[in-house]
Amino acid sequence: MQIQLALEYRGGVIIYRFIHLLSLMTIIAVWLASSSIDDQIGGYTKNELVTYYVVALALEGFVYWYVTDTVKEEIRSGEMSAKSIIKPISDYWRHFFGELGYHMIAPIFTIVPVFLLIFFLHANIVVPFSALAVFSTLIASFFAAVLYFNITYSMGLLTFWFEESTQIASFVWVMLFFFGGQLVPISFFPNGMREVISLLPFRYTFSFPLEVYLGKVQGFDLIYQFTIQITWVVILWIFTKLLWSFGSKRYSSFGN
Amino acid sequence: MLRYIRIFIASWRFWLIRMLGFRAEALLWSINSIIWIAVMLFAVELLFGQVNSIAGWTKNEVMILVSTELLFIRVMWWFVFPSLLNITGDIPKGMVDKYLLMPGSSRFFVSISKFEFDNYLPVFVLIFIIRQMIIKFGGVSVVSVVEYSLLIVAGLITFYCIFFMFMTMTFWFTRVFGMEDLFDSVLSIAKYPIQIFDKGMRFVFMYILPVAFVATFPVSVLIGKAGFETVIVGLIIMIIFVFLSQWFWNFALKHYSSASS
Repeated sequence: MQIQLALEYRGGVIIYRFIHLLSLMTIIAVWLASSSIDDQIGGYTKNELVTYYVVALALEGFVYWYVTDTVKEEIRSGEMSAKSIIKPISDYWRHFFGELGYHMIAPIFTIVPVFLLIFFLHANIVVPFSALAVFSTLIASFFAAVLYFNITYSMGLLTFWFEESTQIASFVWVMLFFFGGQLVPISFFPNGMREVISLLPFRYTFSFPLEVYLGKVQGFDLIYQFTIQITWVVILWIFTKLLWSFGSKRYSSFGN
Repeated sequence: MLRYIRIFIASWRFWLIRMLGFRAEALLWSINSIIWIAVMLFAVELLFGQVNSIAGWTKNEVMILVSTELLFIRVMWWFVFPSLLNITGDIPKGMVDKYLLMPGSSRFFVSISKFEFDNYLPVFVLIFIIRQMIIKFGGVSVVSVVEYSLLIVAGLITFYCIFFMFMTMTFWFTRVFGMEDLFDSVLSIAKYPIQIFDKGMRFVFMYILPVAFVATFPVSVLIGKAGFETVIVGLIIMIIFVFLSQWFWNFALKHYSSASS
């Protein structure tokens, strides 16, 4: 059903993707036009930085979920009782599989812009150096998507407590954007901050798979960071369970 | 004319009072926007930790540029985007008739249907930041500041017209989702100096989708990188888009088929 819906409004989605491509081109142009102190910019070559943002675009289609608003609306309108609370199914999995359809179609809309970028910038694109890097990138992206789901789903569940959970959601979104490495790579941050960021969940939704792709995280460090990523997936999964069990009781007690 | 001003003020008052009714929410939104401003400026700081200049622009210059772009976006979210998003929601429901039946210019009523006053605080903060940056930058004349402000106003009107045309397209597409993301994405191109692009793209961003007039040219005039002729070009482009969008609106209305009529 989600696939049908996305296809029905494909005009909008395609326009949106292309406009988004424009803003991405801007950041790529910044790297190509900047004059650096030495050959490296924050530990990256110019080509690696360009690749970072091109792969980021491909990753966005795969990692992003729009579950916060869906959950929020269901709670606010009272639909949540009929859809989940009185039914013997897990709300977590209902939303997960419900949006999985859109998730499978979303990368298709991203393919064209990504190929366009590769076409124009092929001289600047860095390809991964080994099959292991490709494999690790895919695994890291998969967990990134699950982690992103857990974060956005819990933000939606906060509506049980706060009528307007949007503000909290947009605050978390800023963190995802900034500490996730979407604005600038994490290596640009000062040392101390970088260490804190590496312990927070945000980076593992975005910059981690990209750095794995570019071979910036290798060997023991790769295993260490995978451990942090998976730990956050589990912690936030438990968090969603807690939010759900406390929240849904509170919700029922309101008479919904 | 006086009647239109009165209606504008009435609509303005209505939305101001409404915002005051949801004070906590408005304050949270303002704080959120201010955090966003801090994040963007911090990103410039990080960027210049790694590079010396971007397309010939130094750190202080880019700081003013980014602040100007953020100010531009906040003003658009205050005065322009809410109304435009309002009507994109009305079109699929066939509710545009209410604007067409009003005694006066339908475009005027469409354009003033909503204001978001929670942008007041971020706008104020940004003006303060820009003021401090200009003082720190030094050697900026009063004339430059006037030219800078004039170009920003011209840019605001130009982009009101451009986004109005985008919105008008919903008459054909009926439903365009992610319109607000589209607005932000277009304006985010303006965050960096236009000189980062090659000649072809620069032409597009100067005359076709003139994002260069959002921040690059106003700041260029301010810091003496460009002269008064840039202001003239900006005003001419504004006038062209005003006429173009009016023509497009009239054209679209002929094609509008509502749910009821």
